[in-house]
Amino acid sequence: MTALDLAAILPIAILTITAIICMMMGTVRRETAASLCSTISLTGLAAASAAVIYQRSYSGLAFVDTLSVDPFARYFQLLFLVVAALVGLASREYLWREGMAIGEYYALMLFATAGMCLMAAANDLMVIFIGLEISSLSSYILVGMRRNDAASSESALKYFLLGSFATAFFLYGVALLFGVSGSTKLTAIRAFLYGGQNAIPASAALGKNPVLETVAMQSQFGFTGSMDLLLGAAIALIFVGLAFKISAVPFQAWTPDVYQGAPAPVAAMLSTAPKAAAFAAFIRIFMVSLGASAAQWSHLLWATALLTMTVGNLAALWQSNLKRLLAYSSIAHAGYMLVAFTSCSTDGITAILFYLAGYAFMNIGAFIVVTHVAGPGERLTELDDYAGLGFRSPALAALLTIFMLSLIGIPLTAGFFGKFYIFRAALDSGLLWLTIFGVLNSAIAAYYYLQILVAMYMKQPIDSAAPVADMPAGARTVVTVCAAATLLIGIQPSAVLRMAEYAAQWLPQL
Amino acid sequence: MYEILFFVFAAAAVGFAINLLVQRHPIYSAISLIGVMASLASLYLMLGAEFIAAVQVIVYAGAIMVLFVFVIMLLNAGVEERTNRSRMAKQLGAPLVVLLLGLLTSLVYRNFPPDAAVRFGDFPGQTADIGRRLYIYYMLPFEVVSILILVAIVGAVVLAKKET
Repeated sequence: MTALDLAAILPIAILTITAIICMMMGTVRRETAASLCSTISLTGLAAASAAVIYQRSYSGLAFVDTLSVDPFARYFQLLFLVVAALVGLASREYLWREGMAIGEYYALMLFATAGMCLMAAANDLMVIFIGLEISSLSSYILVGMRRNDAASSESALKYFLLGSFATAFFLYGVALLFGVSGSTKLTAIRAFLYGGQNAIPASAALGKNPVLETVAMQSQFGFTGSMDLLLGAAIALIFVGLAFKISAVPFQAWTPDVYQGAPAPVAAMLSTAPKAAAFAAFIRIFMVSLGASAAQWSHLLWATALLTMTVGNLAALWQSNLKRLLAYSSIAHAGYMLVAFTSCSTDGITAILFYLAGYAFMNIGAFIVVTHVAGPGERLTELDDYAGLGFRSPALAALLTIFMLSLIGIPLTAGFFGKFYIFRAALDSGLLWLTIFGVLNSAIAAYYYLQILVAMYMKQPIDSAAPVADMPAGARTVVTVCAAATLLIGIQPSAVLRMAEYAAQWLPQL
Repeated sequence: MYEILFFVFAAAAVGFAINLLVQRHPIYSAISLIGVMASLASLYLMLGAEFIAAVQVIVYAGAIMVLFVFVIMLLNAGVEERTNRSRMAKQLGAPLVVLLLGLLTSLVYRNFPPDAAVRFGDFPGQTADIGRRLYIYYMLPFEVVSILILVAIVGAVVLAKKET
C-alpha cells in the first residue's frame, strides 16, 4: 500500500470506523447515546474533512487504477461531509422526539456518506456500483426507520423495490460496456473509445489475462460495425440506472412517495447528498469514459432535462403537502442541473457543481424547518398548517422565506447565481430552446413557492393551531448555518465558484 | 451432444423462470427458482466457468434458497391472492417487455453471430485466475463490499428488532 493509496482511502476509512463506533452506542443507555452519537459523528466527519483536505498534496490513480485522487472527487466528498454534518446535527432532537434508534441512525448515515465518497472518487465501474449500493441500501433503511408509522415502512419498501430495479439496469449497462471495451476502468474505456481499434484496454494489457485479451480483441475486431449499437444499449442502460437516482423524468415516480414517508431529516439528506453522488458518477462516466459518443447521448440528455423540469414543476403546482411539494421541487431542480449537463462543457459542469452546493444548503434548511413545524409524529405538513406562521413564529417563517426565495432564484440568494451559471453555460453551448424552457419553468416554479409565503404571511392561522415550540439547539444551529450560507453564496459566490471551476477543469476536456 | 445439452438446460432455465411467475403458492415459486439457478449453473459449467458454477450452486441454489424456503415456512404463507392489477401495467407492460427482449436479442445476435461452439475448458477462467484478479486488481472493490454487508446486517436488525 503506497502513500497515495492511503490518502485515497483515508476519508472513507475514517467514516467507516466512526460509523462502527456509533453502532456500538446501541448498547449504552438511550440518554447517553443521544448526546454521544451526534458528537462522535461530528468529530468523525470533521476528521474525514481534514483527510480530504490532506489529499490535496496527492494526485493520481490509487489501488490499481480503481480510485482517483483529484479535485473533482474532493469537491464532492466535502459536499457530502457537510451535508452529513448538517443533517446529523439537525436530527439529534428529532430522533429523541420520534423514538427512533439513535446509534443505528448515525451509523447508517455515516455508511451512506462513505458509499457516496467512494462513488465520487471511483475510476472503476465496479467501485461506482458498490458505492451506489452502499449509499442506496443505507438510504432504504433510513427511510423506513420510523417504524411505528405505516407510511414510513411503505415508502421504504417502495424505494427498495424500485431502487433495486434501477440498480439492475445500471449493472446490465456496466456488463455491456465491459463487453464493448474490455475494461471496467473509466480511463481505460475512454482510451479504448477514443482510440478505436488501436488502443488496447489498459486492464487487458496489464493483466495478461487471456480471457480479457480475447474479449478485447473481439471488441476491436467488431467495433466499426454494429458494436456501436451495443455501446448505445450500454449507454442507455447506465443512463436509466443513474437517472433513477437523480429522479429524472420518467424515472421520478418514487420521489414524492419516498420523501413524504421518510423521516424529514432523512428526506433532507436524500434530496441533496445521494443526488449529488449520482451526479458525480453521471458526470464521471459520461464525460470521462463516454465523451467520444457525446453526440449520441446529448440528445437523450436534452429531452430528459426538458421533461424533468416541466413535469417536476407542473406536478408541484397541485401539491398541498409540503414534503411532497419539496420532492417535486427537487425533481425540477435536477432538471435544471441536467440542462447544464446537456451543454457538455466545463462551464456546464462548473455550474452543476456550484448548483449542488447552493441547493444543498437551501434545501436542507427548508426541510429542517418543515421537520420542526411538523411537530411530534410529523402530523403538520399540510400547507394549511403554515397559515399565519409569520405571526405565530416570525423567526421560523423568516428563515423559511429565505430558503423559498433561494429555491425560486431571487437575486442575493444562492439559487439566483446557481440558475444564472446554468443558463449561461447552456446559452454558451447554443442550447437556446432549452434555456428558454428553463427560464419559463423557473417562472412557473415561483408560483408554488410563493404559495407557501402567502400562507405564512397573508392567511389567518387556524384557531385550533397549536403554537410552534421553540426550535431545539441542534436544529437551530443548522437552520442558521444554512440560511447564512444561502445568503453568503448569493452575495459572494466567487469562493464556491472557484472551487467548482477548479474541480470541473480537472475532468478531461471534450 | 453439446448443443443438445445447451438447449436442454437453456429451455429448463426459461421454463422454470416462467413457472416461477405463474405459480400461486410461494413454495412452488421458490422451488422453481432452485430449478432456474441449477440450470444456469449447468450452463456456466458448460462454458468452462467451474468456479462460477460451483458458487451458483452453493450460494444461490443452496444457501439463499434455503433461506427463502425457511422464511416461507416460518410465515406459513399460503396461496397468494391476486389483486386487480393496474390497467397500465396490463396494457403497456407486456408489449414493452417484448420490445425490450426483442431489442436485446437482436443486439446480441447481430454482434455475436452464431459462432463456433465453445468447448469445455476453452476459456481459462479457472479459480486461480479469478483469485489473482480479485486480490490484486480488484482488491478495493472486494474489501469495500464488507461495508455493504455490514449495512445490510445493521438494516435487518434495525427494521426487525422488537420495539423498546
